[in-house]
Amino acid sequence: MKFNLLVINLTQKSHFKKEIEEDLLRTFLGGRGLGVRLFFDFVDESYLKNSQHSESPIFFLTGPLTGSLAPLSGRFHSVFHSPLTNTIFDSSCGGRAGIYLKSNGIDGVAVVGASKEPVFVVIDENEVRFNNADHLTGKLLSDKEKILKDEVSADISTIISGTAAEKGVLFANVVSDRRFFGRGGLGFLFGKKNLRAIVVKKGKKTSPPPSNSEQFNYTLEEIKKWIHGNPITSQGLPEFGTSVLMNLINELKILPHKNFLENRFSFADCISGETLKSKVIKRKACYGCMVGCGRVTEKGEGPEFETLWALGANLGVKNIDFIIETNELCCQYGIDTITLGGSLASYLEIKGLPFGDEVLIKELILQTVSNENEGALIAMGSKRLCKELGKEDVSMSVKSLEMPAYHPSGVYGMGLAYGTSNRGACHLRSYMIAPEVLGIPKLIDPKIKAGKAGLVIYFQNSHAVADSAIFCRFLSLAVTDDYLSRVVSAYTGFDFSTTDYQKIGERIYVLERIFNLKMGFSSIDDLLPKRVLFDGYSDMLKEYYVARGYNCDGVPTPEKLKSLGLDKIYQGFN
Amino acid sequence: MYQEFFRIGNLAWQQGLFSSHGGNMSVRVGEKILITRRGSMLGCLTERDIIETSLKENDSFITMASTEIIVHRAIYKETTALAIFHSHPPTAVALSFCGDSIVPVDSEGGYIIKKVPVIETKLTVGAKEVAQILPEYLKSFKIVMLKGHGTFAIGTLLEEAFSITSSLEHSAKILTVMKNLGVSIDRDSLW
Repeated sequence: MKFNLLVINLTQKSHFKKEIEEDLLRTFLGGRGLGVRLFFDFVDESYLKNSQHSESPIFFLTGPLTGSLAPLSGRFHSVFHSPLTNTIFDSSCGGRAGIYLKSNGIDGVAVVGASKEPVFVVIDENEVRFNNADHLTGKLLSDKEKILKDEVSADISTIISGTAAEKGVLFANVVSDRRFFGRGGLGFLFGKKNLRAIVVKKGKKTSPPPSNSEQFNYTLEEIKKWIHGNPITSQGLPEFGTSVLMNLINELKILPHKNFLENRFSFADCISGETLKSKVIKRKACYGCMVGCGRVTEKGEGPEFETLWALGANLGVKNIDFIIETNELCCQYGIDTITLGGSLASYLEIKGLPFGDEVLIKELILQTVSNENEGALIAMGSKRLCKELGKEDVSMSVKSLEMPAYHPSGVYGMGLAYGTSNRGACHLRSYMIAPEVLGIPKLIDPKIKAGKAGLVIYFQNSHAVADSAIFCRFLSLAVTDDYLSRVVSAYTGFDFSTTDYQKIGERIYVLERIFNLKMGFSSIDDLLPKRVLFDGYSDMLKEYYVARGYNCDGVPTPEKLKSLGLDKIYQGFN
Repeated sequence: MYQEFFRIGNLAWQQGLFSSHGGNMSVRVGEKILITRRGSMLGCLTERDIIETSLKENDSFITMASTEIIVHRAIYKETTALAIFHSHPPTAVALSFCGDSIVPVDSEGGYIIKKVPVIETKLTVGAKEVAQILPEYLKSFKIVMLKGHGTFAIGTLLEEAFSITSSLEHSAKILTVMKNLGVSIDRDSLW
């Protein structure tokens, strides 16, 4: 298996290709894992002590299965040092750029340095061009997309930052074909680098054949049976999109309302998947996806469940048309809707302003994307905003990342997953809603504490390797790791056992932890906000550290580091 | 109603009609279905294991419902059934590989079941093809066998659908013993 990394230097306007050693691919696969590992190669100790956003490398990486026939494998990953959380960060996206990079014989891109003037980069099989982007500055997303298509080609995939990035909004995001690299502020880094867009032209290369076609095709058929047979992947997600969860989560009293002051929203059905269905004009799927959870309304794409919650239930908004409109507004300007909703909720609470006031909320969103007036506060994210206003406890965040749509006081495993997530409060690091609500693999009591740590770790590792292979998170709702490891083995020829496969996930997770520790994070940062902290959390955390092979301060033991082959990298950055 | 799910589930599990997490059952209540949760253990059901969802359309609770809900819905739409019991009775499943129907020869089976069609589909779990084919058979038969998979039995009550399944497994055991004894059992039914 080969992996060609294209390194783009924005300072020098230069580029070169580098082939990644097979040993790194065998131990980190691609996507998230490889990105985290490469990050350590691209920075040195001085960066960890005095990092500059403009100098911070950004990686866009495919996985070994990208472009293959494996279902739900069409996504690609970014890895970067988050300006919002100061942690290592990865974000997954369903745009086609990963597929298009592969069609040019490129498996990943590293962007280093910063341009003095606004620039957009065009990539194809034979060259990399650096173009002036003055004319893109200040434009809405749809205008930028049109200009790039007119100037470059109709058959392109784009990775674009919005005006929120140009204005320095800390949680500005990046869009690829209307799919987002959400959370963490990748767009902010684009802004600091004066990078407006990366454009990938469609090439002519095809993916290599599987190393073992017979085994690969057989396992794919078995995987498809599970996808077809599971009501979530064959009915719930295709029919309602991710918002299929809204009424269910509300019924279980774990849907946060009014900045997590409450756990149920009386008008949840007004913003549910069932209600959204009447607004949807068509579905949209990522490349090679048979589920098709994407929604398209007359206003644009989305919104997803998390957005319906963040700009709806959490802010007391019951008007789904308003959420559809503001979701599109966030898309056009390029900001993350979860952090926006969390920051707005904190702001409303501290200022004593009413929840559910659509006029006020829209005005605050417009001020935020412009980074002006009160929006300049909100544009910093809830942690900094609350600290500035002297109410740090009001921020519903972990490691400065706002909590998503599951109230941890009713799902304790999810709470531990938020606390121990390497990128801050995130549901996608260890989707404990699967066992605690959906019964995957089996239903467990959401309020039991003992033994949950092991399960949280299992999912953290499993998701980390899936993000590296790359598989969509929804595949794990229908298909287990023993199938996925066989598919990866058959395609790459690496011949992993299921345990080997999961070990890759553990290695990635611990390496991310190492980065965060080097940046000054400690066990204090694994706690939940006081408002949602439940009795027994500290015992769960202790159990987690032991099961992870960390000491009582949350630092991996020398034995654990050695067993994962991470001892040298840890010592190298002391 | 929940108590009936608990009682039938436990009795069926004790009879060995499915493995620890196998099988599922449902009851039609007007335009709603009460159906067991995906991956639940029928032998020790709790209230969290009974999912209420719509008969006609999906809602949020589809995410928790049994994998076979698509088949249950199709049966309710096409037949007069008020209860469905799906299980994997091992002896009857073994016999499903031997022909296109199972015809009991014992007295009880002859009275109650008469004949069980065996149908074969490419996919057998939660499959649209099964949902399309099966209801037509259940208009004429109270129980149908999916080759190599298991049975779908219908009734006005859960207990009725369960009892038909139990009888089939009983008859299948007799048929198997008779085969082992070398007794000729080539028999068809005009049913």
